[in-house]
Amino acid sequence: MIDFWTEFDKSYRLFSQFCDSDDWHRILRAVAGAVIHHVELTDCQLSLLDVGCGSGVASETICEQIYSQTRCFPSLSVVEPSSIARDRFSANILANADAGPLKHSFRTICEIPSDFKVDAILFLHSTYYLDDLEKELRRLVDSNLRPGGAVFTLVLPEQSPFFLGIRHLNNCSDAVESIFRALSLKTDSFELKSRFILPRNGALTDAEADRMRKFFMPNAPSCADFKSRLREYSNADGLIDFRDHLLIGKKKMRQ
Amino acid sequence: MRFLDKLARGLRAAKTWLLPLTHLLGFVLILLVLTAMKRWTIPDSWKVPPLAAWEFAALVHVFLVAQKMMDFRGFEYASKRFNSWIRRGVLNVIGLFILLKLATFFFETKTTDEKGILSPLVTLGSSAGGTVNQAIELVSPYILVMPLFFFFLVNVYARHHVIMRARQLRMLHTDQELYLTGLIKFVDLPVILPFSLMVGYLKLDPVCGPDSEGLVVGIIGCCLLIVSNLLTGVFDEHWVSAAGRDR
Repeated sequence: MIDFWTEFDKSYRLFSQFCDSDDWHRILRAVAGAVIHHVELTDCQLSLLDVGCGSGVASETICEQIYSQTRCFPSLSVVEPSSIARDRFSANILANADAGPLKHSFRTICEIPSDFKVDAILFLHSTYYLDDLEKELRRLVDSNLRPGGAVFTLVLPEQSPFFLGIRHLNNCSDAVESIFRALSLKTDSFELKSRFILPRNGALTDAEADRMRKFFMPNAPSCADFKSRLREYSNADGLIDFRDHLLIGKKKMRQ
Repeated sequence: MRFLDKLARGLRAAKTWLLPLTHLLGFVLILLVLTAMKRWTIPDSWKVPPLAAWEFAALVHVFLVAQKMMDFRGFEYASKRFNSWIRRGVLNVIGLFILLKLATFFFETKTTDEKGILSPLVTLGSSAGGTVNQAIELVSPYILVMPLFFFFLVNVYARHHVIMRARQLRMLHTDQELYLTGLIKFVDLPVILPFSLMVGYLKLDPVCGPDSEGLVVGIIGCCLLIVSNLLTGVFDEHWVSAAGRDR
């Protein structure tokens, strides 16, 4: 796994300030809705595994959404290799561990015991950082996903304008879909909006632009070039849509 | 490499700037070329359908605008397959209408021989020819109406698909649903419904012969195709700027 948090943490936090928070909340609501729709709740029991949970805020929001829609609180387990992210995750969620949804926390997928079973596995923009997604997914689906359970991945499409030129961003939408098919998972997809809002006067400072450029468009040679590409990809209202894809791979009841 | 990169981005930017103008220029250019062809290259002995140039220009205009509109990033909540299908499908069908118009143009063109007798430019074998002529007569007046109905069907089907998919995610009254409902209410229905009534009236009116009927339907069809494109564009702009929302 690429150590996302040590390398890019500050850039990512800066980037997230400019994202449309309404869109992001709607996406998390959609993921929660998809989990409820695709995974059968037996006796109000639902267990989730979030792979690459980062700061844990997203998976916690999904748990809250599932509760508000079903009145059943799901149990949450997470996989997060970065110590920086784990610290943040601890600060955000582990403090509430007694009352909160968190049940297990693993550093890597290999640490998960084979008798540990979940109903839904989440990859929220985390597939890019796995070197061999097919191998890891096969392991999770075969050993840890209950029959009738599903894998939910939030991924960018290959053609997403903002991530053009990022050479190490593996496993985007089409690649994940073909892996689902290779694993004999029944695949479904949803296109969702995920927008980045440029400041009204277009005034990103050079320091801000440079920090974001290094992370999101390393092939842009300068700040000016990065800014001009942002303008090029934005619509008349200064919005850039990343087009998040929600891909669902459902495991058959008997496989 | 850097030069090529700059050139590619420059061209993309220029394309964005020129799009509305290119559409207008394309429309006028096609009209001029076809009118000139009709005036100077087609022999005097040929009797071509009166509105052919306008009809081609209107259809190509619709094709260009559809190409731009289908360049959007997809209906929200729709599946990837649906969005890619609709992009390809719309352009292919409009392309098909253009080819169909071209075919009817040749089948409807007549030539005058030395004795002054009119005969079709293209003649097929007796059995096939009869069927083709019947089909052409049946389809020809309505080719311009077809894109209007087609866009109406696409919008209705897309709305149905988007609502169904959004419900699967437990999303109610989404922006996408409102947008498509508005498009049907304010663009499709005001254009298609009066046109259908008018075609029905012309069919029932005994005074109106097939030639004048074809002419009226042709002229109004051309205008409506362009007006519906304009209305869609205006609705789009209004939607985005009024609510700060993207489609």
